[in-house]
Amino acid sequence: MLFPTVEFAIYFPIMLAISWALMSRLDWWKVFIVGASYLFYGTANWKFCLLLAGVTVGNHLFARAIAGTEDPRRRKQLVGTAVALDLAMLGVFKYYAFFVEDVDRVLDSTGLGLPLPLLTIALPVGISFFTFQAITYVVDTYRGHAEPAPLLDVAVYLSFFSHLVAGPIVRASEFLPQINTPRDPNNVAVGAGLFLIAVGLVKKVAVADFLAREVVDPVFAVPEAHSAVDVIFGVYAYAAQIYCDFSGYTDMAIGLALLLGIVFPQNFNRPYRSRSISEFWRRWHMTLSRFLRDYLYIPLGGNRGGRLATARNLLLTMLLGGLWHGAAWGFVVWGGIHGTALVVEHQFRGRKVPFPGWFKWLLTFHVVVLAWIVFRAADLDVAGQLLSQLGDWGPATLITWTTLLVVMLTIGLQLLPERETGELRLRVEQLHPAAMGAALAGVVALVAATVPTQGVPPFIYFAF
Amino acid sequence: MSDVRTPEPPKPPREPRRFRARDALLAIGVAALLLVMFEGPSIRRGGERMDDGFWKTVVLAVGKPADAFGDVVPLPEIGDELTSWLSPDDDLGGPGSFETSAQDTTPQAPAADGKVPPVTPDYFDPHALGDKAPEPRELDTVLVTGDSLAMPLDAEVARRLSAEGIEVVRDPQIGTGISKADIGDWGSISLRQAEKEEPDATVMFLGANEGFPMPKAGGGTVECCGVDWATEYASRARRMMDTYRQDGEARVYWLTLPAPRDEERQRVARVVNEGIAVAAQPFRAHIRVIDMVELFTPGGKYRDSLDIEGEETIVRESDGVHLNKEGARLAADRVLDALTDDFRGQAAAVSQEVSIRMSRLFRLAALLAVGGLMTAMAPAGAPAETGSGPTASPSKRCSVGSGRGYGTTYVRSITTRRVGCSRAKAVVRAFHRCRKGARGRCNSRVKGYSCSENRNGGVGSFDSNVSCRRGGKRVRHAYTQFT
Repeated sequence: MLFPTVEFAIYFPIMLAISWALMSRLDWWKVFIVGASYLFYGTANWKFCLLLAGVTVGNHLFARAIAGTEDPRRRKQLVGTAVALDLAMLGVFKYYAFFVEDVDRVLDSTGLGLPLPLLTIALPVGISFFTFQAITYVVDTYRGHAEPAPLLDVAVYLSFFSHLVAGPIVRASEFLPQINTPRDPNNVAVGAGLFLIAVGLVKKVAVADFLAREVVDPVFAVPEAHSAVDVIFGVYAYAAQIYCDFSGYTDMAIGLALLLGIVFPQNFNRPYRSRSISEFWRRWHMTLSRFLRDYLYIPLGGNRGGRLATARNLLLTMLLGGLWHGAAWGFVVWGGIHGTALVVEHQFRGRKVPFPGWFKWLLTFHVVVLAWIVFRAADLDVAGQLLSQLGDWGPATLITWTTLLVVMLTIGLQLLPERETGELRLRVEQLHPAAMGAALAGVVALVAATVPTQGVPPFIYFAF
Repeated sequence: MSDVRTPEPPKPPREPRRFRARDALLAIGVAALLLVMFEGPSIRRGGERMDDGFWKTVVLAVGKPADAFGDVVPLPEIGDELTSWLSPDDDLGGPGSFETSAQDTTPQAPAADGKVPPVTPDYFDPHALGDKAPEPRELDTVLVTGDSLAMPLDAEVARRLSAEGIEVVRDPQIGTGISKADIGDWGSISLRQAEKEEPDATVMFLGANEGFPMPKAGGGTVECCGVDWATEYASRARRMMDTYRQDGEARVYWLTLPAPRDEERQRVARVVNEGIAVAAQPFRAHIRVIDMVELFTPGGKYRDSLDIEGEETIVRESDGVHLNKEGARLAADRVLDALTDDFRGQAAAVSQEVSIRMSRLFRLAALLAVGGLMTAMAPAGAPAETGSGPTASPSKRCSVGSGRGYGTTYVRSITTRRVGCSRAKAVVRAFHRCRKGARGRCNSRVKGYSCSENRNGGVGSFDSNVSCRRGGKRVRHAYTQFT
């Protein structure tokens, strides 16, 4: 179920009312949340619920077993097995088709001749997110950062509807304590929640989908048919689209959770104002960045083994981070570009770099935009074609005042001081709840009018 | 000194207001109520478009009473009036609608007086008779349309043909079906597409969303998938084919449905394919039915992969319905082969995929090289031309004959880039129709081209150079106008 749909508009008010009605009876509340979240998730395909339930039970059992033994070797074996099983499941559903053809060819060419079955396997929505959350749970239990929780709590943690399909990736230690004390019904962040929901809707439906329809999809589908000016504009437009699509989803997820009294970590903080790639990763998909840092980069050795080892760890982390997004070489190259940029930056760390701030911003922004090309293109052939179109100067057919304004505003607003945008939010939060509800209805009606007959396309990150 | 004011102390930062849970319910309740009052018809329509199941029932349970409320209190109309300017849709109903217009009147329909309908020459494929096929008009515009099945076929066809300067209009209508008129009525859509684009060839891949009940002539509905449903389906498909073939001036390439994985869908696909075959019968001179069943699912048996050049390759998406990119390439091969047969010499160079595909390794190298160049240039804010890009398409000069008949005194020359001469001449004629009068100027787009002109005045006449652009396409012409 997508947030900006009629089904969800019916589902959420009912869920909100029952959730607060049950808040004083936590066990009932947890059972209800799990049921409601599985209903939300099962809309796509009820069979995926079985997978989610399996991940929940499996990781719960491993966490209990880890906590139940003092033997370090046994604990290590258990956590290793749990993580390997989680990754194996992710591998089967997400990467099987990616590798199977190549593996078959290698087997065939070496005469082993044991071809794997060539099957297309449906990708369960959100599998990358709930698998990573399951990994944080067992690893945190192993590290002693989290206590093993009852099965019901783990089920709430992994299935909670608003972060289930596309994050943010919330740690068990952040989430579990919140559901074990009743939320205070006299202190709910209603203003902030509604503001985020409205902003997220506008970002996703009015900006991201509009840019996709008018500029990005035509350029990336057939680069050959577009001049260099259109291609360049299309790439900038994609930078705006993906930010609005993903951060719009996150805004809604955080806003919805706030109305239920649950606080999620921030996931975006105006990433396009970054002056370095490392700063970009502190502002873009922040919960993935810290996952990669804490569960991949640091276990690999982090920056403790000298320059070469640090460079290797950075590059490996970003390559795997890229591959996490999907089974395609474009994502690997995307991770490689970011990893290389981080390695280069790391070489200059601690030295005085004689570049003005605006130059650093411009350079960082364009490295990020360049990397988006391989991220968005259907494959490397298309990415190469798109870049080769840069030599084909001609008229701009996709640049209109509206598309130009939308792209410039999306990127330009991130450069404003945070205080300016925070003030608007505070003003909204002073309104009477009924007025906020009316304003939200107005935003929904305006945004709904921009939706084509064919409906709202899924969020980009639903595919990851 | 009394007017000396003491500066006011700075205001403390505004604190977020504290709300209670009931405020959340109030706000969400008000929003929901207003939306039900203003958006009732949209909720109902949304519910009707959903697949059968729990959520359809729930949405309709809200949408139907909300819609009924809207009939009494016209708030939805007010809402529509206020927000209609934001709608991105073309009108998907209107003229040509299956639901509202008269039933099939094409030659093969049973004659109203009960006589056997006449056989016309269009029934015959000249190739099958060993006859010379009538020369089609120049291949200038190809429309690739259908439902989600047409993606990524549309991009694949566009990529291959754009190198030849042939315009490919990609217009898939996701979620639509011939038997599913609530999202988009293909009677109207086909008419709009044919009138707007005037495609010389239409590639149609449609059928992922079929199997819905259809209203039949004389009232009532016909359920899938018996003879009555197939008859209605074929009648509708035939009307669309007739629209796209534009009185025999254009060609249509209609792809059948490869068997889907799901058995229930397989049954629908079989009926749809029969409907397509029957629909095309009277127009075999202009309609090619391209068999995807034999290509992807021989014997009607579903499979995920095919042996392509000795290597087993996945050709379907995981949903068991759509083609993946590799599958789309195969389908595009068939389409382009058929196009080449009909428009011999015009699309010949594009039927071989290898002609435009660079090796992956080369692409990667180009990508990294150009990427590095672009990064280096980024601070300057303007990427420069790269050596690896294709060279610009050469300009082509068109014969203008006596130069008469274009709507001005005479046209001296026409040159084009990435446009066929017949389309270029049509643009020139449209430009002069738009000018209105000897001294008039054209200030609006013509056939999608925006034009600018440079006049050199003389006594009693002027000469002018006009440049019209649409994307990478150019039509330039020079004319003389007596005043």
